[in-house]
Amino acid sequence: MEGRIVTNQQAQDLQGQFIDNDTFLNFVQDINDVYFLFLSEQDEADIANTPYAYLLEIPLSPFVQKPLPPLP
Amino acid sequence: MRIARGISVTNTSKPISTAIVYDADAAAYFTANTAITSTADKTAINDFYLGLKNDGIYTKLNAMYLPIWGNSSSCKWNLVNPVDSEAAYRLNFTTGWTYSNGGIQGNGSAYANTFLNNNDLVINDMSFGVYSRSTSGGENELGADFNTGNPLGYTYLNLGDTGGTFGVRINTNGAEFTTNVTNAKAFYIAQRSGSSSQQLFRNTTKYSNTVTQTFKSINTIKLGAWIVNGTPYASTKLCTFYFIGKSFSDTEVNNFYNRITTLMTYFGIQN
Repeated sequence: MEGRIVTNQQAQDLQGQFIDNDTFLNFVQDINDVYFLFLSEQDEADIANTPYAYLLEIPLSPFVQKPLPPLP
Repeated sequence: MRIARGISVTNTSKPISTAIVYDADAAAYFTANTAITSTADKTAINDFYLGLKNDGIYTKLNAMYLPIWGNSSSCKWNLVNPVDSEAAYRLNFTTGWTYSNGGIQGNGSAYANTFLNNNDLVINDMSFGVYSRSTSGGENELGADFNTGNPLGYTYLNLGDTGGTFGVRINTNGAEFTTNVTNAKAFYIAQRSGSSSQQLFRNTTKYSNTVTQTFKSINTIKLGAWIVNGTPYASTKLCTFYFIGKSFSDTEVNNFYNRITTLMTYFGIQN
């Protein structure tokens, strides 16, 4: 799985921002607490004409998910 | 036409109306979801509504979703209350979904917020489910967020890992209820029907256990993932239907399966 790495500040600023009426940006931390953004091909087409189009310029990087923590 | 001497009859009858009268709830859904234009599609969906009502299932549903329309704006509607608001449990989607007429498919990070808080459901009388068209496994299909410090009751449905199992917890931190199945491609219902009674249905096959409820999960239910401490543990399955409601009898489950199968078959997306 690959995603786009963003800074902590970018994730804080953009978390929950809508790219259309029904779809919002969501950032996920990987195993090293680095924030990633994941876009489908449809998202990429939708975002291209929005103020968030610059996010498409971020190259894809491999994502390693945090393991599920032990549950109490 | 002359029927007698000095008397004639003029045909003044009006044309018979051929307008289709839909179930009121189905009609509301058609008004909201403008992607549905085909009369045949509307008839099939109308029959689905009528069937669920006839079977006593509809009144047990808080929400159901039919995400087969190719984009988020058409897939977002709660068929039980198709109003564009969080209070109506209209979906908001993260990025990462792919939408098609064959269903919606997450990428392993995506989820949809129902805004339906698990805390508003009855702790020992609730159900949720999904129609999965994929055989991939080991992924969460629905869940109420859990965060450290929350009351210790987990609510999620996990479908099919490499060993072909599915697992569920509903309002409990007791042992996960797992069982082996062929694969994840089926209509699944997970429910808690009592303080010590959970059931899993794969199509119409029933599995039961007696894991006791502990506490209600207190956060909103997401489709496509179970979020733990902010991290979505999400699905990559292609899914065409989700629901959340009260628990069902075995007969109601069988009927629900038949109704959803008929609908999926009409659209050519049955398993």
